[in-house]
Amino acid sequence: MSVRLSEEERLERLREIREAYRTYPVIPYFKDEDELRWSLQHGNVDFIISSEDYTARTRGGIGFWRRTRPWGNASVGYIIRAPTIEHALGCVGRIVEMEKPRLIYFRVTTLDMPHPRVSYVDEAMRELDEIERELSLGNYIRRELHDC
Amino acid sequence: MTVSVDIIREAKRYYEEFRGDPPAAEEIVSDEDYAYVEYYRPMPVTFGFEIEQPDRKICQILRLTYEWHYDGSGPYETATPPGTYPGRKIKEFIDTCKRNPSCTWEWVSEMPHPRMEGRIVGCGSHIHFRPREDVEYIRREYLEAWTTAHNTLVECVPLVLPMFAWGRDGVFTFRREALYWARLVTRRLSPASMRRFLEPSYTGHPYESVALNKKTWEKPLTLELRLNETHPAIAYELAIILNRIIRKCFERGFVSPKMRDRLDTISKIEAAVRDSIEYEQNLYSMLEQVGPIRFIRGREIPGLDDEYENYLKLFDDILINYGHPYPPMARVCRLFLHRGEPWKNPHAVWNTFAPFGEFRWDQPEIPSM
Repeated sequence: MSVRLSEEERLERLREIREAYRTYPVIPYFKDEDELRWSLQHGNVDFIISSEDYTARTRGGIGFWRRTRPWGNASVGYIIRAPTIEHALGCVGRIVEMEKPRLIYFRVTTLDMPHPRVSYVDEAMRELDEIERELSLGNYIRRELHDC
Repeated sequence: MTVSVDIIREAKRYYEEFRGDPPAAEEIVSDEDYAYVEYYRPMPVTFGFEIEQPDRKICQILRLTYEWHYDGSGPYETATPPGTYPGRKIKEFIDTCKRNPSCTWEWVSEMPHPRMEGRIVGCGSHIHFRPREDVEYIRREYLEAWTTAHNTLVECVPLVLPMFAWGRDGVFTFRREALYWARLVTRRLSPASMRRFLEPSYTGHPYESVALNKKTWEKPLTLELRLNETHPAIAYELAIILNRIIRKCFERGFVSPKMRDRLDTISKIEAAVRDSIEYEQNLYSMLEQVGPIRFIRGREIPGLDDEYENYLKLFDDILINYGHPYPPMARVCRLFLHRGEPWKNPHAVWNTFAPFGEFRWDQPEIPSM
């Protein structure tokens, strides 16, 4: 089932998507390592941590990381690849210690993370592409994509 | 025991500028006030409140009566359990404070960060909403209900900001790091994306003014209003106003309000708040400069106009059309309608639940009974 939008609302939605895509995704924030471990164990690959209030307990950890685009309202972003979730948590702890107080976006993959692995950013971007495609064609949008 | 018909008539006359629906059964705060109920529509959401203050402010009796804990964010906090009678829970909390000597205190909106020198953390009364599954028409469209409630809050929270703020250092403004810990969000969700957050595998608590909050896997998902730094008596009325707006959006077919040029408008509101915080300027004066505010036709706040000259005109119309003419709601709405400042009323905020005729704001210029 589709919903018909007025021309004004269609243009407004398209503008919003184009202008606000970086802050658009809802990305989970964590301040506790156990909460984060649980999320990773359920295949969620990305999250934000505030280095002020995150408590890291796992130390060390093998893995490598590199900078990436910070999503949401994070000011810095990292991709971490590690053999296990525990190693990844160690890397997260090291980055948090190393960084100045601020919000850090992480995207983590490890060999022991279950499938399907889900990125909140990728899913949000996929949905925005779909919305943009539908609205570029006309004034109708599928009900499940409509911001009711 | 009930309030007499004469008192109800007098209260209604005294607060006649408020035109909102009379209170529903679930908004009544004590059995004595039951006579105020003239109207019944089920609330669309359940409510929970997190009350946060510095440890040293909490008296021994309150520590023993409620369960308090630290969650890592700084202040000492307690939560009222979620339910459909928020007024009763908040009144019970306030009554406990008032019954015991030295258990009320001067509310504060911020405190030093416990671990980081020079940083500030917020205190307040965060509100948690959750659409009700036990109400038939909501259960039938549960995904739409969540999406509409989320989008309604994203759109309306920036429009009632004075009710979130407490004041500090002699100025009516927000706490210093308010927008860091609870940034204003512009993103609206679709049912497809909301489905993702209702799945059991989601946990998290974004630092956003309207946050999809599920701290641990055992807890239910809630829509958390994190910007709220004010006293529970004001937070309660704010929650009722937002609940009433959400209900009317549900009743018109799950259609949330939506502003025109919304990115621009929200960014101007955010800039006004930022300037108010940074330059310690009165929040009302800064917000008054934002405008005009327009809504997409058919997506106005239910019952309101589609265009307002400035922020405060819209804010007043929300209070008038969603505040009902009975205490305690009418008192709190009147405080803001007369540009009262919560921090200037440190004693009165503990008394807003007093019977009609027995109440005064500390600011003498605010009419009160």
